[in-house]
Amino acid sequence: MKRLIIKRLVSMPPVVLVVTMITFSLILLLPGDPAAILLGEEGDAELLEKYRKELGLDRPIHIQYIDWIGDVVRGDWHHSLRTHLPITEEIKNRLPVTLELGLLGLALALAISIPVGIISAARPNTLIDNISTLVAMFGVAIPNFWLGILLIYLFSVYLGWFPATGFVPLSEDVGENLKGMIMPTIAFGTSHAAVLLRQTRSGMLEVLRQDYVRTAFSKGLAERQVMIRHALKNALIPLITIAGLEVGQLLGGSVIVETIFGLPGVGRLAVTGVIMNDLPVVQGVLLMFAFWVILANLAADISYGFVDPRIRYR
Amino acid sequence: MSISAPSNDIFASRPLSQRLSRWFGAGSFFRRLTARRLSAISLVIVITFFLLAIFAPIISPHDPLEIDFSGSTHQGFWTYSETGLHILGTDDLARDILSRMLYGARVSLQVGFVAVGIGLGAGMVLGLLAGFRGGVLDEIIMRIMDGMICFPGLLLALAIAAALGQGINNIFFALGIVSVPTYARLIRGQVLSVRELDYVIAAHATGVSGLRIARRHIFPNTLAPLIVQGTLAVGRAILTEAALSFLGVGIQQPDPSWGSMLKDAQAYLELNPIMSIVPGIAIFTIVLAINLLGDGLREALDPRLRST
Repeated sequence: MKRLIIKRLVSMPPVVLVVTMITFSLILLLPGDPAAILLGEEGDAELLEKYRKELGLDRPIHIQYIDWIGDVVRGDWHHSLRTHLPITEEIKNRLPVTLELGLLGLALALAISIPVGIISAARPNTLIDNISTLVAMFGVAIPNFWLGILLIYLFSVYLGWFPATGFVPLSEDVGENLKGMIMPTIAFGTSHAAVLLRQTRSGMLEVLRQDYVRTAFSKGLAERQVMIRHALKNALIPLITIAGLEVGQLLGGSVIVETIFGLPGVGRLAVTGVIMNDLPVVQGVLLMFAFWVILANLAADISYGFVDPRIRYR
Repeated sequence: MSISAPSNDIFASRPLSQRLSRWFGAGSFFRRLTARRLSAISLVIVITFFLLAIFAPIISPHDPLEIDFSGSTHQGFWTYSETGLHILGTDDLARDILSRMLYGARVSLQVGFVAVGIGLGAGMVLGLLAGFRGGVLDEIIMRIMDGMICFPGLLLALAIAAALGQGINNIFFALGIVSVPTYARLIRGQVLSVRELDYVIAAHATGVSGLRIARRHIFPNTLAPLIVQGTLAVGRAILTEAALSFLGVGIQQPDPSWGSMLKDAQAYLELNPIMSIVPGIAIFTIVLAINLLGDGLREALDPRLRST
């Protein structure tokens, strides 16, 4: 186990390095003079020059990178070009919203996918299995922004149950906050529920063919007990990896869902940054999301080792 | 020197009927694919969308950019205006929704296939290089891929598209780049597993050059998973393009794209829900059909799944 953890930890720094390089090199993609684009207006030459100096854009690119990475490591993620606030602060203010959305969405996805996946696998090719497979296919294909719009149409415009936008912070009023999160959570969680449902079903089908499941049945255990105590445990192992890999998708989804429902989260920050040409903000969010993905994959790999003894001895 | 080298085109010399039956006859790939009803239906849907996109200028009842200045907007199905019948009504600027939907199909399919082409092409070169050369080159390429895959695809595409500026070519590029690591990893893995097989070692032993082994022996064996992945990736690219346009970074107004149509529709959800429903159904249908087709291809191409 220790060896597995050390091995995984050693493989991390190169990936982190590459992630920072890619994030930094976004500035190279800007067509023309970065200073002019980032300034966003037809500034006079003097102002541009001053700006270029300020941002260090007049130096060779590798020096710029080294400076930038130094700042990043020291926790100085630079300032937004538009609001002039430190980016770390911008992100910190919005992080709770994105975290809440992510956790609620994931909880919804798991709450749907695991029970339905088990039932589907226990009764393959029956009506209930076919319906759930069909719904899962729909769930993967439906764009979350369209789903969001449909939810707003149904629940806000037609039924008038929830307001379409208008976010109430969790710290102000828990009830109102959760009420406002219902639609975003559904829009956010559906596609992940679909992915995890397919995974649970195929994982369970695989496990149910195994000898030890037959043994459990033949010694007279109830179906419920076999399913949950014997089969599910092993079927869930690959689910950990999938869930780890899904974190990136999940974070990408927050960009859309937060925009539709007007949630002041990190994803929204990125979209505003993109539209306002605020490169440091975009870089900050990219970097943070990538770090999360790296950590999630690390956690998935290590917990895999805990759950499955075979991995440890490889 | 009486022995001639075996021709590369042994199939080309066969009569047309034989070649056709190879592809469409009993037991052929096409028959295996369409044996499943869902795959057959989804194939028909995808082809239909293709035809709609290709013939959009001919079959569209209106110019998608044409604005009806008669003053009133003609909402609802089957409404008439001074410019004629609008089967799906008109949008906030009195443009014909059906025509915009048809032209939007051009954008979506184009983006889907070009982006996947770019990603596949670059990923293939990188994957083959990494798998074949190994060593430092492999390390460098794969560490870059590992890094790229850490970014949420949508956000990276968003950042790249925004940095590059407007224009459909930049969308192609942004979506293509984002998908490169998937293919590079897939192909490298395939190369590594195929490389050790006896027939490749035999080819090496008989003095076949590395490039020729890659082209003639390894590449064809990596094709099946690539086709499946590529098909599914077209669906993902269409979704991502729609998302980018929805966020206002993709295809720019007034050009119709399903994503930007949805973006416009948001403000008129109450007044004219058709504006939201039509492009949404279009995206949903094509992506669903492509995903089902991908599943069908997987089963038709993988001999191990054939018995089940």
